[in-house]
Amino acid sequence: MDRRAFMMTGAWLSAATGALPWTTQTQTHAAVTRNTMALVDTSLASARAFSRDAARRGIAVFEIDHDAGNDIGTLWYTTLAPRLAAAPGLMIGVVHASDYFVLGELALRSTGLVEHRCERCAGRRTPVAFLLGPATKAMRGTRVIRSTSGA
Amino acid sequence: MTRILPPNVSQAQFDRALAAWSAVLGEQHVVSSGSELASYRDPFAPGQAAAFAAAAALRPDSVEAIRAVLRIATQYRIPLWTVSTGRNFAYGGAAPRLTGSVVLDLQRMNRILEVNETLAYALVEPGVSYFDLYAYLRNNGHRLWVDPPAAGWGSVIGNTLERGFGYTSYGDHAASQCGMEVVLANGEVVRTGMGAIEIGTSWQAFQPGYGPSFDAMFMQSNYGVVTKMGVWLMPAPPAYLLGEIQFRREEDLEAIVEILRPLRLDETIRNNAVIEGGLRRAAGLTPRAQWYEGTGPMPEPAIEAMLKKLEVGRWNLHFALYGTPELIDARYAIVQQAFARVPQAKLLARLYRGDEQPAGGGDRNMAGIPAMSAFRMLDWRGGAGAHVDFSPVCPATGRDAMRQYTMAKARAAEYGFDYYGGFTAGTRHLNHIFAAIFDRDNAGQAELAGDLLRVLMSDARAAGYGEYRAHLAYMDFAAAQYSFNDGALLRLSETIKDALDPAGILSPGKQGVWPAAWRDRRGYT
Repeated sequence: MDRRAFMMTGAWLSAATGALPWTTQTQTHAAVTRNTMALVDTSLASARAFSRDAARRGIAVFEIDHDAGNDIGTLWYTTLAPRLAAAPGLMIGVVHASDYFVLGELALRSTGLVEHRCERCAGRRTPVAFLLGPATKAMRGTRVIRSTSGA
Repeated sequence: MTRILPPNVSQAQFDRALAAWSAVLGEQHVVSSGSELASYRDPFAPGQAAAFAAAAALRPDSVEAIRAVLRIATQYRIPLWTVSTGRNFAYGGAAPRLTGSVVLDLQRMNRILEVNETLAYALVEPGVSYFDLYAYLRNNGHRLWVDPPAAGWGSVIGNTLERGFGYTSYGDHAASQCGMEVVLANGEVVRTGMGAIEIGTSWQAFQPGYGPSFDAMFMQSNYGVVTKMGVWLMPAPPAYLLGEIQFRREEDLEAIVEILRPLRLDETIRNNAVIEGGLRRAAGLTPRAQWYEGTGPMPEPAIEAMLKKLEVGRWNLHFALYGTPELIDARYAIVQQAFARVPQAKLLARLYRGDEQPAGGGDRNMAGIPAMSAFRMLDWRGGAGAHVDFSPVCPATGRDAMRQYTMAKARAAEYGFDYYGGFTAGTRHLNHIFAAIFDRDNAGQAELAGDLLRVLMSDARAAGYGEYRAHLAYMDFAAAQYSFNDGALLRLSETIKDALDPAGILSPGKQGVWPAAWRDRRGYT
């Protein structure tokens, strides 16, 4: 992902989540990278608005319903992981904090996606708005292997 | 960011070791900094996560690569910490017991080597998760079930080696394991049981083999790196019934256990039935703040109101019956009759035929379907949820179950925690699991959870109970509680450890077993 695409998507995330009680409305950008996916939990009212907006922008939207017993692990293994393997990209969304924890661990360990943004709500149903993407150079850190000759 | 080094190893020596490992594995499979290394932390550490920080992580993809990794570790005297997929959260995740160890992450060894429909088994590598094996069986039309633990992302081998359990008739994972391939610290590759016959045909069919059996020795231990394992699979039944019995009163626990035990012993109920506390059941449905906004443990009136509104029992027994509809009907009648003597018990059940599947995560587990819904517990207290588990073994008597429950509940309340727990029923024992749920962004709460765990372990030991599993922070404490004859069991474990791993490179401190080289690092006992 190039830096401009990341910045634009991040700004769009802020705008799209503007309706959520814990975020502030900012500018609206139709920043969509080709392989961005949106994950939304339709049991959260704020996520439903996010879902509609993402779909309107042409982003592939994947829905789960926490209250109906839908499972984030099943969605990851059957749908999200194969899609990310075929076409690496960004993942944005609004889900419960517990599902975000599971998603974040799976994404990091199996696809290398890392958290770029995460906004948590202090309210009852613990929604989280997030953006996962490839690690930037700073996140990857600097490997220091000063000498290989002595090995 | 401060660089973590292996103990007693200079930065220059460590750099040389990393270079040597990179030459073997490829640089991209040697992780020594940044977000990738951070992923090997314990996100649920009840206290300072830095106390269990890894210096690096290695991702071999073959037995030969593991042998090369061990050679280099031995040369530089660098301790390794083996994980299959490293998602054993609440017990430490991928983090090592000894700070500065290098994680030996086997997730790239993820082949399903064989599935035998006739004999109902699979042979897998450590990186195969329950989700992976389930998908493989479905995609290839096998009429076989996996037995997933509560968190289906775990490794089949990893969970079995930790003596994890699931919820079908094959719920005792250690008992359903058959045959291993193990790399010892000196690089020797051993196949256990019938696997020692190179052209053998029975490796996954007969557990003991000939002569002494060693498979159990590699469970919850640091004697070798298990690289292949056979697992018995349950033939898909023609039908199954999932039942839930809700009980109104706290004291019903005693009757539940007394009624359930004979049904487990005579195999009327063959699965690992679960006696789930009401609050745990409710936490899967709603957050705590919906019912109570205060601090400290949730008051009884609030719990009562919540359970009533959600139509959840104070205790909720989940069980499954598998087989032909005729067999299920007969067993169900026995179960109904047995529990009818508990006042106000409410029985709910549904029969599934053929490929019908239940919707909810817990029910799906009893139908051999992996899920991750158990993690919804993280939403209970709000914020960045985390938990650490107290896991004492309980004899399957009502008296013992009530005793453990009241002890855990009272102590939890004292430290400001709700009783979030339940009992998973083996035949002669119960696995009592209590989870202290806390906000990992709240250092005070995390510390309290840690303190609570220590007190619970002390209480349990004083009453004659011991844990079947423990978080990194309590591994030494838990091991020390098995203290008959001045700790003869641990001395035996460490004698074997020193014989098999004289350099002490494999998972030092695992389950309290320290090699001579690192024995001075033993923690709180």
